[in-house]
Amino acid sequence: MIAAIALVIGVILGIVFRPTVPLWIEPYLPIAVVAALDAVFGGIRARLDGIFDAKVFVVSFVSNVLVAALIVFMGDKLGVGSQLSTAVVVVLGIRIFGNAAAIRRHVFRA
Amino acid sequence: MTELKRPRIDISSATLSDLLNNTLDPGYRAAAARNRPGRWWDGPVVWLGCVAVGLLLVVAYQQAHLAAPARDAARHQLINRIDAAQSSANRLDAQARQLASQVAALRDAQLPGNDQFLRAAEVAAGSVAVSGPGMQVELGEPASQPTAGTGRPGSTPQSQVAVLHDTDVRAVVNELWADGAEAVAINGLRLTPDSFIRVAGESIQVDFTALTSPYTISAIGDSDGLQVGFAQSAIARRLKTLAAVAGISFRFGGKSKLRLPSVTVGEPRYASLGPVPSETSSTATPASRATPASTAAPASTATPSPTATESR
Repeated sequence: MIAAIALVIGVILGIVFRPTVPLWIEPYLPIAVVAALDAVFGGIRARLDGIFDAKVFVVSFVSNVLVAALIVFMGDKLGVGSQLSTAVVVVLGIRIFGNAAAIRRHVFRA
Repeated sequence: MTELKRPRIDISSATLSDLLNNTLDPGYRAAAARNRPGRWWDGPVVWLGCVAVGLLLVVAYQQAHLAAPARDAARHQLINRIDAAQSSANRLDAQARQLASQVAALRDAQLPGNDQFLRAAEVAAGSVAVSGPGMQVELGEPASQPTAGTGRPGSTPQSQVAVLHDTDVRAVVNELWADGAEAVAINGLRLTPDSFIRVAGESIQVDFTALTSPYTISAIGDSDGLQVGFAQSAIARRLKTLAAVAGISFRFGGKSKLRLPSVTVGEPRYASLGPVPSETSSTATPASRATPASTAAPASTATPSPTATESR
């Protein structure tokens, strides 16, 4: 509940302050969002499993975002940026789907 | 061999099944196994993390969706400004032509008699619309472009995307002048003594107006003489060869009635009004612009070469 409120506050902060993103970060934002979603779904599922841990959540969130951005950055430098973004999106997408399925089982018992 | 192969298959399938089945971060289970007591910063850290997630989501959304309409709006604004500038330029051009014809009418009313020399100079300068018999040359690029440019639009040299170049069009125009044309227009653009035909980017430009294929070159003059002269010219032979080899469309024929528009004739920039020495045949050079490769002045037209005094 507190987490949901914090999420909403974050959204409101973003809408109110409209932070400008440096140009060089812009390409990595979409992949960072996917990584963040993965951390969020993982956290929700852990919560429902009863094994949620604040440190693991925060560390996985930060490291997911950074590693995803780093992989894409390296891919850009090596000339395989789009392929590596696809790889990151596929892996994170599978994880998000799996966690969403676990959450669904918890919520709907189905 | 099979013993060597089996583990590899196991590893790869294990990686895949691990990816598919263990979607939860293993850290959670490890932390739960350690079963450490909760600490005071657990709540605030989760709170901050969630704020960060929300911030990231909304910033990414704004970058992806709110920036695009802004770009679109800017583009539309620029297009609107270009359209407005073009229409106002067209309007001003029409106004200038109308005023020029009024000036000509007033001058004609003041001048005694019918000045044949002035008429001829006006026709040669392109300041009056003319009609009469003549001939028309039609040039068209082949239906399929030889090699499409790979780069950004407009960055490929014209010589790589087109068979017909400015030199071809220029040669046709020069040939028509040499065969005795009194007025020439390309795609409805009247040529004046200081017109130019050149290449800019991927298109042929005539007096700063970009033309696209097909190019229709109309010339008023003695229809038969023009056709005979043109048919025997080197450029006609070259174009016939191009039509056979490269597949351009090339047609020419006489026209009993052609109508060519006028253009607004600018002030001569270099030629100044002055007494012309009677013994030398010094005709004022057409006031050419600095850069363009201007077409040959109508040297052998039936009319006398326009002197600067007439193109006020």
